[in-house]
Amino acid sequence: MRLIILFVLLTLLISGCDMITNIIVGKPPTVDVNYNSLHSGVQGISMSFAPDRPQTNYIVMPNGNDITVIIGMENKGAWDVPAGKGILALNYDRTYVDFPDKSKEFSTSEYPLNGRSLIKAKGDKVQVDFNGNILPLKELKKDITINAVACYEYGTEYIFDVCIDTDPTNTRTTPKACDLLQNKKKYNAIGSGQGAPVAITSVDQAIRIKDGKLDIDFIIKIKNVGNGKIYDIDATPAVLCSGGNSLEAADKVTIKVELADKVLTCEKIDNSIDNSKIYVREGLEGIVNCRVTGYSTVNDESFLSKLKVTLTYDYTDSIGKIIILKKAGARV
Amino acid sequence: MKRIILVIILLLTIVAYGCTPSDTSNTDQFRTGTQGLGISFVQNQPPSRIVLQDDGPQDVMVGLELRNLGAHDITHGVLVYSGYDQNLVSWAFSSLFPTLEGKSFSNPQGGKEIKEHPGIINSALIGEIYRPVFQVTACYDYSTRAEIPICIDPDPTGKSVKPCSASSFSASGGQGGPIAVTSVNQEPSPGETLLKITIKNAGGGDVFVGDIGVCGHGEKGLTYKDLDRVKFGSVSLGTTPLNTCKGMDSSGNIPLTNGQGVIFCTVKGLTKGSSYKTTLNVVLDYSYRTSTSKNIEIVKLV
Repeated sequence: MRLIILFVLLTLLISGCDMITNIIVGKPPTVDVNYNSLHSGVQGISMSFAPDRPQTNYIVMPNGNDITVIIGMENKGAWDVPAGKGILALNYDRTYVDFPDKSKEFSTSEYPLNGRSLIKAKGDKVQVDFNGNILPLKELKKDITINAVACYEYGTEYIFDVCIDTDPTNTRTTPKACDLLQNKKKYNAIGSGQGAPVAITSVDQAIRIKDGKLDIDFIIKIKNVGNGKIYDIDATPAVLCSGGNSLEAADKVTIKVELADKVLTCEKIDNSIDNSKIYVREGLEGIVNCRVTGYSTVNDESFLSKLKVTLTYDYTDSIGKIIILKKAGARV
Repeated sequence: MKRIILVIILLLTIVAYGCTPSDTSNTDQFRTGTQGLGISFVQNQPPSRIVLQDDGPQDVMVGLELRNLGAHDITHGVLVYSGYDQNLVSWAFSSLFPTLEGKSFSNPQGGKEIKEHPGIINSALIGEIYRPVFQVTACYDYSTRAEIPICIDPDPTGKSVKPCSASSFSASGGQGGPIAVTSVNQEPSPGETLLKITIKNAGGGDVFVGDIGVCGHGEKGLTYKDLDRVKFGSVSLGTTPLNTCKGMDSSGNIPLTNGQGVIFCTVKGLTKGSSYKTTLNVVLDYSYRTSTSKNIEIVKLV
């Protein structure tokens, strides 16, 4: 028995040595940097009502009651909501309840709601509270819904490893660092999202050789994979949450595509809006074709580069909670 | 008593085992193996993951260990580097090849050289991540000199006592070069013997004939016509050259199909007599291309 205890103690001592050394020497813990897991998921800002704020049932007094609504906001994506560009508004039936502050900023310069990053595994959280009144009830009982609507500026960014294959048809014997066809397979169907509600669902690549130089096309498909709605980034969140400007600005995403240090020129199937914007209609994919000309020559060896796709947009999402109002003294 | 018998049996077994004639098929211990040049990255040069903290240019050292694992000296070769976007990372395109001695009695490990190339990462353009491949391709001239013990029987139909029988030779261990003689089959007949010599590209790279300069950065590269060809050097039985070999193309090269090639040589004018052991010397000259790569992840903490 003593031997077992001694053995356990020795094991603990040995395993604890590193930890003790780290504490004494002040060695920082290893940062687990994983770009792919950081840029995954289809959520942006997640909202939830705090328990009992509001309550599910209220007994309404003849002079009315106080009501507090607390909404927890968490940035579950990989994009920072800029200060002043995140608005939370309440929608409710004003016959029964009233809130002096109908909307509030949830990302301020003091408390910005930043997303996940390489040095921060989780995004920021914030609580937004609204204090209001339940108005005197004429009916004996009434069910009403309090909706919280978040309007915020958001973005999707992902860096794709792209193969600049200087021999795309494999006519040369030179061993290649990468192969176009093999590399393309990685991005045929991307189902996991990039840490935002608007996702890049596929990236296709075509290489044409002209006068010994490479013209490269990237065909990018984009889809709204979140539960909310996309609006043009120029439609400010404050305006969106107050109900204005929404139809004209709906379903527009601003796109920027860069290959290493070069900004690519993009063409859309739908040319009705300006060059940097594309339509991503609800349930459908937006398609854009971005091109770089003369990026490399056939005399160079094939290499891996990076294609950075940045999408920016305004996004609105909502949650609701049904509350039951009962008149004080009523038998219902 | 039983113990003594047991000990004696054990000793006899050991002695008997020790007396078994060893395989004398390859007495030259340096001419073994199927490798020529071995390329590997020096540990952590570059590291698998490079973490950048700011937008300033970041120096990175790339270290290559070049080893001559075969038995022929490398005096002429090129090293070409690729796999990364020059806009993001600046590294050398190519470098001169050092002279590397092959394995020998005085240098049993073979020549070794470390080549270091400083590189610069353009941190400002990296963004959050960049995952290049660092590929090194080497082209060099090499040679295989195989010394194969064989038994020549000038009179295969004779009934006299023969010290050895004309059997086939087969080996997969190589002769200190990536092109190996894998088998020698004999068809003895009175006065002459036909030798079927099979060679194989066993080094995992590409064999070719021609100027290694075409492998260089920006050059046209090797064509399919250059590949899978080995220059026939010579075949001799003892000190007697065999000039009757067939199986080469008009340029005197042995074509390889699926990595294998065959030549036929006839030993003529054998005087009738007892069988005897001798050495078949095969010399093959060629250029060889081999490459290795390392995946690197460059992350910028922003």
